[in-house]
Amino acid sequence: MTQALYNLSPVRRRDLAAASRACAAISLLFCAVIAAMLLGMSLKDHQSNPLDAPVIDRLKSEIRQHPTDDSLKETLRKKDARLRADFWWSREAATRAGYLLLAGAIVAVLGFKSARFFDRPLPTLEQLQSSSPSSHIPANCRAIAASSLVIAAFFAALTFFSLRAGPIVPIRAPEAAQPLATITPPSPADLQSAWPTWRGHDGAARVASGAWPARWNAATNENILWKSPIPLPGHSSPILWKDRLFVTGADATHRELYAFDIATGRFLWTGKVSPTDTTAATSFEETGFAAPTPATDGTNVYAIFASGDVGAFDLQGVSVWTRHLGPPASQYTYAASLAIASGKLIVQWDVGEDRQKSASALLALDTATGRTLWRTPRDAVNSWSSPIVAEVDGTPQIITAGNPWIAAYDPATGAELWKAKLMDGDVAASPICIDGIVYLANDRAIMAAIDARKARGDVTASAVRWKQSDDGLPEFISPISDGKLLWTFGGNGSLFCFDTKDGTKLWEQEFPSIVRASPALVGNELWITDAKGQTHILSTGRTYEQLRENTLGEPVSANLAFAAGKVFIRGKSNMYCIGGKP
Amino acid sequence: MGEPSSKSRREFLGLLGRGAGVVALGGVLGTLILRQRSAVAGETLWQIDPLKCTHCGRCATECVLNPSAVRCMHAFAYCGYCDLCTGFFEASAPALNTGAENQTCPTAAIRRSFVEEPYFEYTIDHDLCIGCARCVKGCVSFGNGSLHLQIDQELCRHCNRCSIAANCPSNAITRVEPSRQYIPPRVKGS
Amino acid sequence: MTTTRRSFTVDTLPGAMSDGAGAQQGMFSRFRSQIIWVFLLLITLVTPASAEERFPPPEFRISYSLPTQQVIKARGELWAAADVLVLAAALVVAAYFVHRKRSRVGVFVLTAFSIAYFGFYREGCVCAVGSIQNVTASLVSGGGLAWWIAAFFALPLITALFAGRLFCAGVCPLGAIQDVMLWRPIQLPRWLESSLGLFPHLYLGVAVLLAATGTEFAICRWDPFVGFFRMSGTLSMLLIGAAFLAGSMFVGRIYCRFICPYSVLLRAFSRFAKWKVHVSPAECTDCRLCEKSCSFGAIKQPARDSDRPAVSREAFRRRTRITLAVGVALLILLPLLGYFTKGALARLDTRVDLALRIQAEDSGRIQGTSEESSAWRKTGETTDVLYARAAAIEYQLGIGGALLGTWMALAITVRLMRQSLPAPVKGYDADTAACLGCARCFDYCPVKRGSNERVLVTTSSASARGSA
Repeated sequence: MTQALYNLSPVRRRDLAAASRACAAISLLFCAVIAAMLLGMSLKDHQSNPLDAPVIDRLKSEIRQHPTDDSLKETLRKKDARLRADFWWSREAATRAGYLLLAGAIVAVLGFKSARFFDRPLPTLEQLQSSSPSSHIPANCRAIAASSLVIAAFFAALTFFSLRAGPIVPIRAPEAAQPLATITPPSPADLQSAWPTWRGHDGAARVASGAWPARWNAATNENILWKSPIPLPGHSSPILWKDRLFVTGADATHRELYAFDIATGRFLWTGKVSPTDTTAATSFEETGFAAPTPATDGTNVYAIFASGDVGAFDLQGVSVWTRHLGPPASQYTYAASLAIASGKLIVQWDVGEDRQKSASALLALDTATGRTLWRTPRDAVNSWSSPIVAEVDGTPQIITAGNPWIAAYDPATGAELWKAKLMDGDVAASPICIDGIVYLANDRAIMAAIDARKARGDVTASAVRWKQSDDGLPEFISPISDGKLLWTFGGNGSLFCFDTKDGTKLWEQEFPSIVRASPALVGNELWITDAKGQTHILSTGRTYEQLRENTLGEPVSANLAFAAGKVFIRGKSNMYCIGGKP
Repeated sequence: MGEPSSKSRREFLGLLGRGAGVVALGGVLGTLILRQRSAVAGETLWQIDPLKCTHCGRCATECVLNPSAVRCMHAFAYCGYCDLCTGFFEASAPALNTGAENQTCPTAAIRRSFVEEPYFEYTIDHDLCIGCARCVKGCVSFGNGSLHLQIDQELCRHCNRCSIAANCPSNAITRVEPSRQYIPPRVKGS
Repeated sequence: MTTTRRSFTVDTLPGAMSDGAGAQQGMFSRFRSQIIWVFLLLITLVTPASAEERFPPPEFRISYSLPTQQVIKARGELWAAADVLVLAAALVVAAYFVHRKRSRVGVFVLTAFSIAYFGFYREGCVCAVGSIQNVTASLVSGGGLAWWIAAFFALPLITALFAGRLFCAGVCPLGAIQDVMLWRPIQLPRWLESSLGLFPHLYLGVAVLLAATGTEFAICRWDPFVGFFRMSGTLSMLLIGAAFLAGSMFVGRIYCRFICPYSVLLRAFSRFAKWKVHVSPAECTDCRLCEKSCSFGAIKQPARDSDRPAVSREAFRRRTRITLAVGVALLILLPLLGYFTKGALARLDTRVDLALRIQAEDSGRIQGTSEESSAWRKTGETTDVLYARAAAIEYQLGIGGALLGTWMALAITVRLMRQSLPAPVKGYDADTAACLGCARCFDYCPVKRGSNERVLVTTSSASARGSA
């Protein structure tokens, strides 16, 4: 067809060109009119915009002065109705005009193109060949040099502006190299009033005596402030920050962090961490996918799940970052809770069953981005114990238990501070640190007290105050101590009490029920919640004495959390808040 | 230097260059894929976090669309159904009726209907709303905050650079996952 | 400008309707409302302005079910996959028309399709040009990048690596809309062409730098044509776009050649293309019609002795020495200057802007607050954090600015050096790096495929070949 167009007679071609040009010119004129109209409308827009029409404001203030004047109101209503009608009309019109403009432009472009097609003579060969090619090189180079000068001038102008305007912030030049998002560390007071990590901020599960509820009963609703269902199951314990409660739940395909309102129990939001690899994480049934307890620093909440997926959310539930640490090789499924030390998120990553080949490490993640800040390799096989952060001589230490070492690390650098080769078997109970003394106990190994205050390097021989391996070695329940006495649950299900000075056994009591959660010290009472949901409250005297017993009526495997006179218990499928008379 | 050798040399250089290009591109994409494991990737949509929103009114003016893709939405579950709705009525409105002199909304996009004494239902006419946030300001300042701004995902052009987000004073507009493409108001933290 | 769902009716006017309770309100209720307003004001002054439930949701006596807010969901990921498929298909079609069919009409149809689909239907987002910023931001921050954005970034480059700049030929909507505007092209002198060709490097460098620090998506912000595609935009944006379109009527593809940052990558990749555009399917007859047909300055002249008559070996050496000296000087000067641009560039960043504003307010240099500063103050962030963030951005821009300077110095030096390289072709042919694959020259070339079709163009029959 194009060939047929080429072969048209010159006269015919000229006519076609003229027609096309006329058509294009008319379209162009049409476009110009519409464009002018649009321009005028956009300039006039602010007057017909009911958002900021001065006449409406004026009328409104007049009505405020004469509230009974109905004619004024009538005027305003009419004016308002007209303005709004104009407003929508102009928008409608602008849309239509836009389409008309587009159509006009298409016709104009096609018209000019066809005119050009029909009447453009090609340059003749003679003309072309008469101008012989010449070298462009010197001219090109000069022009590039000129361009470079323009670019240099652009840089120079920006530099001039920068220098004249001065530095952005005249303070803290050395801190400039820090990562972009800095997170304000919470104040110690905030930390102590909250329950930010597993077993509280220092991992010792202790709260001072105060207005804690003395009795409760879920069946009679006694002292139960609220009860809220938790969507997915998990053994993780709740954590608390100001007005929020956070807890995790997971199944084979979902990993979720839940936030509740502490005052009302209202479910606030779900933070979803998409599991990167659902096939790799087969969960040991007893452990589940959500055994690790989340942690918060008051800015974000962090949660880790059995598959090694870590998620950070801000307190409003907006995802800040997620990270996949790789499927943890763990015999009974990964369970170590998260800790916060010096503004870093601490992950005890004890994986693998072979000490030589294991990839075990202690990780510190940037709370703002999830990037690894430091990674200290650990000589350890898989364990289920959680890291704790304790002040020793005024400086924080991260204290971890694993097989075979119990070791402490510097939160700033990840450097190993001290270690002792005491542990064996499957380490699931976590250490506690009271006034610089670390107590640890584990089934098939040992119970010992280590003085961490002067400890440096391998202290297996030097800093161990006492050790024994006869009684009260727990399978997975962490020990608890008030500094004078130490209580543990033996693998046989009995509760033991020791003197912390020398490790002598004071008493041993067969416990009436199975216990899964680690106990807590509330003032001078020892609170032990068993697997059926009964909380046994014992005195902390040197003899066994049960003071009272409270009923929840729902299985419990998570630790209790305490804040502001309220006790929070995670049942199998509900979250309970208990408060009321001490 | 013979003709064939020059040609084969050029072909070899071309091959080398292509190889380098493939390696460079592969490096960039590989790094991206490796990084992907550590971050949520997939479709993301611009949306307003009602909790961060300061109802400054720029949503109505900064959007590339006119009217903006931002709309006021109503979370009825949070609404107090007040007779004196501070989202609907202007401060010191002379009377509590639907007269234009009393209404906050410049386009009369809020419909007030009687439910039972003393409760009124307020619904937003999506087509009339221009996202100016005047009602939101009233509702959040004096009421429950059930009126909130959201980006209508059907109207939104999903610009690579959201022009409202770039001008939002409180960075309330971010890209969210499709599962959260509408964010209802939540109880404000302390 | 979407009004398709809007139905404007007169009965929505206030005053035309009044509800049951409102009609009975008299003086007393007005008085009451004033009291309530004062009361509300007091509440607000005493309690912080958080959206707690001041008024608990009522328990209705009548049966009343809460209305649900109807929300309309976005298009979803499947559509993005469709876009990638269309892009890939368009690139394949471009290869077919340019390399196999050598058809200008085919390329023109593809151009029209791209304007319609990628332009007016998909409204230009996300495009390969803008994807540079997403890729940079993702590489720097480690944040996620949707796979189709990576695909939009990579597919045109992979194509360029094997078959030249086919993306420019008729797939990129920005290029396509300029291409159809071409009316009376003027041939720019070579020196202007090669000097203006440096500016895409600058634009690319600045855009990458600003995207890396999270300051701004400059390419999107200053995209001249996206306003047309959306049929909506600010007046200044539309006027800039109109100016570019008007310019491209005379200077072919003015944005593509002298501004487009993606063109830098495409040029570099297409140099090594396996299948290059060859104007003449057989031996060139030196008619130079292709040179006249190309509006984009992409036809290379053959290397002949007559081209470089005066260049002796000595002169060549001298020129090389000067080029190297200039290169070294630029490599020292531009990074240094680049480092100091940080103050100016940082002021484009809203986070820095906020820090400056807070600083000015706190020191009393500015009275009152802005929306930004009062919103920031409500977050409870300390000024230390705010200033540290601003200082960190400035620091990063300093490092980045020095890198930008280095990049520009290298770009200029390489360009200068390339001038001295001999053209490797015998006849007139397309410069692979500059050729946009528009296929206009194919129609002009008198040498046709197959020896029997070979026709020499004479003065009379040379008229009116191809479309403009």
